[in-house]
Amino acid sequence: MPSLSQDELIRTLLAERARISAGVWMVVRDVHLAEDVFQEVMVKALSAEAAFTNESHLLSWCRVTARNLALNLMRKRGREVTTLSGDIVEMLEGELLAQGGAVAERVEALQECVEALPAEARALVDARYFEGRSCAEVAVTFKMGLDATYQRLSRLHRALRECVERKLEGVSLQSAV
Amino acid sequence: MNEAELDDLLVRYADGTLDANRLARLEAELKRSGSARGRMRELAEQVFAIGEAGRCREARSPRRQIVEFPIASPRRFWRPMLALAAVLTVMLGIVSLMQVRSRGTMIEVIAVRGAAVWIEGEKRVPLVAGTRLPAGTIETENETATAEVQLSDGSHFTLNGSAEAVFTEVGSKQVTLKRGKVTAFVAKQSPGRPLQVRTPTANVEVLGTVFSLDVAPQRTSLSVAEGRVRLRRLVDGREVEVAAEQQVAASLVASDALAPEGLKTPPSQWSLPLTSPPDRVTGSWVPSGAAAPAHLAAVPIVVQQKGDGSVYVHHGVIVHSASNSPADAFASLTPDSALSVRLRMRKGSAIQLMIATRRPDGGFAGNFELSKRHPQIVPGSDWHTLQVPIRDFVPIHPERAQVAAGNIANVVIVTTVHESVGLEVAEISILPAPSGN
Repeated sequence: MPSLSQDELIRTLLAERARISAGVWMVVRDVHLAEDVFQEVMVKALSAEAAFTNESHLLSWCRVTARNLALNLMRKRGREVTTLSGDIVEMLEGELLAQGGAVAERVEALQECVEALPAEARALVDARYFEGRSCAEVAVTFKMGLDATYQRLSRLHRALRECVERKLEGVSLQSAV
Repeated sequence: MNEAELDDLLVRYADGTLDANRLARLEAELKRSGSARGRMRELAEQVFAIGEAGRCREARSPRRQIVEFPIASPRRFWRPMLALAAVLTVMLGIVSLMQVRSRGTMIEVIAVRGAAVWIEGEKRVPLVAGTRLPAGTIETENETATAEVQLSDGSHFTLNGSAEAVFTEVGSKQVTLKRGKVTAFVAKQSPGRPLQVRTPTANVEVLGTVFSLDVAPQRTSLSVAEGRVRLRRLVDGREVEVAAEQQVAASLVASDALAPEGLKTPPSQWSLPLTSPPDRVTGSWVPSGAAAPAHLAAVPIVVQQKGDGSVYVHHGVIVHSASNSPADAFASLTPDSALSVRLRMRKGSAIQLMIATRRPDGGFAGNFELSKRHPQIVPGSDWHTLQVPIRDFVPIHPERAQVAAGNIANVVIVTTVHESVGLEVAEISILPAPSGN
């Protein structure tokens, strides 16, 4: 039975990084932990004894492995109480992976939208999601109440969503020059 | 559940502060509603993109010397360091380790926009920001897809324009730029071991400087922003030293002058001549006739590749300057500059405008774009003049420049979105200020 070469495997994993990492984030809710899990999945895939017959086989394996690693990580950290149940995570991941290349397109558009945020808004989402500060810490840093911080983040997520929709409606010319 | 409540629950879930009741409520909604699950997926994608943007920024920052990384949050100060180190050493270390076992990495991919690949032999691997690669070829596949890479000594190269650069390290570092535009920041090199850039018409030796090259088969244009660069013209072996704020061009004709000159600033006004077929234009030229002035008819333009390999196609025209050199740019942009386009189209459509810019020293300064419907442009046979202030354009590379003013323009694109609507363009100009038409 033919199996994926190491080149194909690496290429597939790197191309799927956004989808896999986003799925992991829904459990661990920390971009750097999600990245750690993705790397661990990559190491496991490269050292797996079983051959992957095709991309679909590899991605199914990655999805299950990533979810288990993420849930184990949360259990070790004692945070399972606030984690979504396994069946919902599975449903979300399945839908995420079913979207194919659309995720990569949206993430690329999102990065442009993030870069274009006003400086203070950018600092806020960076503090919350890149530096990994809790909303309570962000509230103190930005001199806001906690509820106001939640509301501000909700508004920023809505703005990013609308920005991406606009971008994908009129695909950027930047690649065409 | 209304949208506001769902958004609030999602933000609190991300924060890890949902109590059991609210978590149950969120789970019930996620089970019940596909649209709620869509919101959750979008949130995850957004956070991933924020993480990627943060990593790119840190990678570009001088602070990325990991031991010096200062972070305000004491509890998690090590996270970005670890993430960066992990991304750059583990994941992509794996790639180079497994893919090319016996060789070390040489190139680190900092940022990619549009289609760009790393090539070695038969292998063509899409470039991914954050990856480390061994020596090989980097190619930006359409004319100004952008790829920013860094060498192990900290030197930065930004490829834009349909470009191809081969990175090798034999004794000293060497970059062979086969075509296209490169802006380089070269870290200080060891004395006697300069970084060498080879092109079809010249060899360039660099000990530490900032410069731009624009390479075509017959000519290499060099603009130096900082430091000094030694250029040797291949056709006759003549050498010149090019200092900061100077430029020179090396052709394959030995009788051509090879004398550095000061960087020239283009005027603030420019207009595309259309009385004869223009050079460096994508579009179908139509000579003037009884019914219409000379103009360019839109042609299909691939603007982006989809994830499944198919492409988005718009219809429009593209105008390029003769080279990257500031002397060849169309116009210097001021806060009051305006892009003026005389056009007509058979059917109504949003119009996308884009201007590619460079710094006055020739370095890439980012692209600026505006896409909108203009109700005053009535479909039909009448010509309309559209004037758009440059300040209305949105930066596509805001990390390079937030505003176009202060840059020089060297590419202009005018397209309609998706289907062909018979766009024709009779004039393209950059004006110092809107003329009030």
